[in-house]
Amino acid sequence: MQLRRAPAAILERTSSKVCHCVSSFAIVPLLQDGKKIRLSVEGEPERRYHGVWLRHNCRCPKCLVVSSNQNIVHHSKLVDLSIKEASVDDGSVHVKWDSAKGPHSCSFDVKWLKEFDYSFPNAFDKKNESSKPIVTDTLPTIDCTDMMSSDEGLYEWLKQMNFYGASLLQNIPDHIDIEQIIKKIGNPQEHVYQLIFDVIAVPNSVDAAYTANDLNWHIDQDFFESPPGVQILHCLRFDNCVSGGETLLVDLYNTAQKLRSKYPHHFKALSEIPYSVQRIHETLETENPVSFLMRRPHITLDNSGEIISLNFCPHHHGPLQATEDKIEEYYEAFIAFSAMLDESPTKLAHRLRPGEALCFNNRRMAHSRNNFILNGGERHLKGGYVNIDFFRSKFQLLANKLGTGEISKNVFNSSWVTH
Amino acid sequence: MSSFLRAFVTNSHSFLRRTTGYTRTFSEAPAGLRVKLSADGKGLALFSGVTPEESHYHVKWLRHNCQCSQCLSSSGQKTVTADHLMRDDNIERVKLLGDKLLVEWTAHSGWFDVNWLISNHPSSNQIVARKEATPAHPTTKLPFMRYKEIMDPSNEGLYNWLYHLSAKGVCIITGVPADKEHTVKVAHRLGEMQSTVDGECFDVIAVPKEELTNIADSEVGLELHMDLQYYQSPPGLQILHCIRNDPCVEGGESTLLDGLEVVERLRETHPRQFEILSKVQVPFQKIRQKGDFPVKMEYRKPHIELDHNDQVIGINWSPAQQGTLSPHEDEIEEYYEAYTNLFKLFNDSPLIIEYRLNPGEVLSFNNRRFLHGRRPYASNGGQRHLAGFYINIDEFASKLAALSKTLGKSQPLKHVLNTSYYN
Ligand SMILES: [Fe+2]
Ligand SMILES: [Fe+2]
Ligand SMILES: [Zn+2]
Ligand SMILES: [Zn+2]
Repeated sequence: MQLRRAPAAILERTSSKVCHCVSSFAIVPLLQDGKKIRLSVEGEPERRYHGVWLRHNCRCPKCLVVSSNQNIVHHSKLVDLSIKEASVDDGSVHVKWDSAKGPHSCSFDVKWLKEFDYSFPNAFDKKNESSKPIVTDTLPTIDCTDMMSSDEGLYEWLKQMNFYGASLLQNIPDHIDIEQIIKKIGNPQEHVYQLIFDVIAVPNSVDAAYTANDLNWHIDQDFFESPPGVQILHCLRFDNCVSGGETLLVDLYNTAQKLRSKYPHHFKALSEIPYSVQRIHETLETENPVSFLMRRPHITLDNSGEIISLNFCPHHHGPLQATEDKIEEYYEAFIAFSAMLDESPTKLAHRLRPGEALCFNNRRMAHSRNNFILNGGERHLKGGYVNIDFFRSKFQLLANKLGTGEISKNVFNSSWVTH
Repeated sequence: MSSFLRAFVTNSHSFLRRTTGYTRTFSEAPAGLRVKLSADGKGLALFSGVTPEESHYHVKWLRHNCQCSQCLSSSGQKTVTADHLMRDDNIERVKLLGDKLLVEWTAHSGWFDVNWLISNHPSSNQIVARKEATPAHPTTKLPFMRYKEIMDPSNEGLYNWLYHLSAKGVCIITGVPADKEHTVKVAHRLGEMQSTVDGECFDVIAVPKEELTNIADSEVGLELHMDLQYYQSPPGLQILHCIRNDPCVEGGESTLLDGLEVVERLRETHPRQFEILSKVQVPFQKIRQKGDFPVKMEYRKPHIELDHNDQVIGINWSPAQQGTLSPHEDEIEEYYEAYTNLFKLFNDSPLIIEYRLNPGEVLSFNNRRFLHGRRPYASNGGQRHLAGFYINIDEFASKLAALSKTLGKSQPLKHVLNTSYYN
């Protein structure tokens, strides 16, 4: 859409005031017949704010319920709106509007206005840059007691998962169980199995992960709209005589980025052709039969093309439903991507020891496991999940509390990331 | 016509006739069934005898969906890997055996149930399936059911309830004892309550102003909205059990509106606004610093989510939980024009259902399709108390699909606005 730009002299009203607020000199003339204001702070490029945006974000108690942070601006207040007056003093911008519903006024903190600025050249570059995850080929570790005993330790653990996708929790005392570990973030997330599940080789198991076979790279329970976020695998027993059984991780995000630059047509296919993931359990004599079906592309993008989710769960694939010309395109891309995962430099293998827990973002890191032979021994892990949105919330709360200045990375929960 | 179709040659009939299955009467497979292998081994064609056209299947699609016990575990999980797909890129031989189609690839032999092949053809069923899954036009008449029906162990009533929720999006259950013990009993029919930042079972009841953490817990009116939009997967079903609503309480009627219907009308009347609302990201947030359960949730998505065919797969609407928009400067005026218009279309919609809940009634609706709200009320010394909970949207859809199968129902299941792409 074109902005109706007119010479500044016509647009700027006389009501603009000049002030010496806290540290710098600022003025707020009106533009475009009261449709916008311009905030000019000495030594900084100008910022513009629309009257309707300001009105929608009014900070007064009639518009914002402070206790619950709920916005109660009615749509009728946003129609036929114009700014009558704007002035600035003491670090606040005072705005008076007029509309069919009558006049209204509010003061905005200049700091707040700067934080939510959208007109500054490259206003979002910094935010976009800081939401990019960090790719690594090593597994960060943290001591369990450090994590459990201080906010700083907890933050470090969350940060490892948030930035790098995974963290190895070490020296877990015997009296600490997985539920206590999970509760440091939030409640265990519901899914189709037990909230806290056992990974142990049993005959005729209902899920491939519970047997000693080789596994494909996968993320867990991809048939939910919001699959499990953080996955925690706490090792209780892993006898020395057991051969194999290493847990494997690979960065789907990094691999998808590589696919994008190396084989753009494959990337396009995987981000456009929806495939289905299903979990059907209605014929087995289970107490609660289930029949899940979720259809979406392996890679989903926001409106600017940034990756916002990665969906990969080969053993729950349903039959692909697509027009004939897409079938071959899809399979070529799927095969290429699978091969890239196998060869990824981000691939890592770790043989869990009792007292360790592998903790990772199930939405970014695909996992798998090497075949194992028990040789008379035992391998027993306990697993559980935490909701992805809640994980992000916890990270952000703690970052703010500790004043680290960090903002959450893209956690691939399908939330749009590019401003 | 695809190139691989032109390459088809009719397979030697003698090979097919030699099989015992071909001369047998097909009890389950359609009569007149024939199969052809393409000359290059990259696909096969099936004449089902039901439709005049043949259906084509690609070698890799077939390999990926092989139904033999090596490829499909007893738990229904696929064990076919990308390696198999790469290796077995040729079909050597095919053979019909009763209702089974035997297929030999480069290095694997497997089989298919022919009826399965027909009903899972990658493209021919798409348009029908898409149409069947699209929720029909709304009814402004609320479906009612009795508590006895939904609790019946035959599960017929439970199925009907879930079916109403899938097809119409809303249903009221009457005759539920008005205590929280029975809220839990109703919940157990549906599965596990979805746990959220508000816990599991919550109460909607006016609290003193100082304790307010949600405007719902007061006497003010509530604009039409959807709950907990700041999750990737907001609550699916919302269940509100009326425990108390004294006769002296004035107002407080529940309001409901089929958001999908209004959004589809917007697409017709204001296509540009519809487009803008599917492209501009809106932050939904929940910030709670107080108490022992602080949260800082933020989730960004457009109001309308579309799939690869521009079908509506998600609707996100919660004015009170909207955070500060960080738009592109040139989008802002258009966004607000579209936003205020849709806001108005919702609030002024003739499809709004208004209902005063009586103690012992349960209002249930799909929170992903329906908007809900409340008229302001005055307690006048009485009380209005609802107990509520949520059911995950995928759990709901799964429950209905499984029940439909076990009870042998044939009504097509509707899309539940859980952002799953249509066929
Ligand atoms: Fe797994
Ligand atoms: Fe609500
Ligand atoms: Zn205000
Ligand atoms: Zn097979």
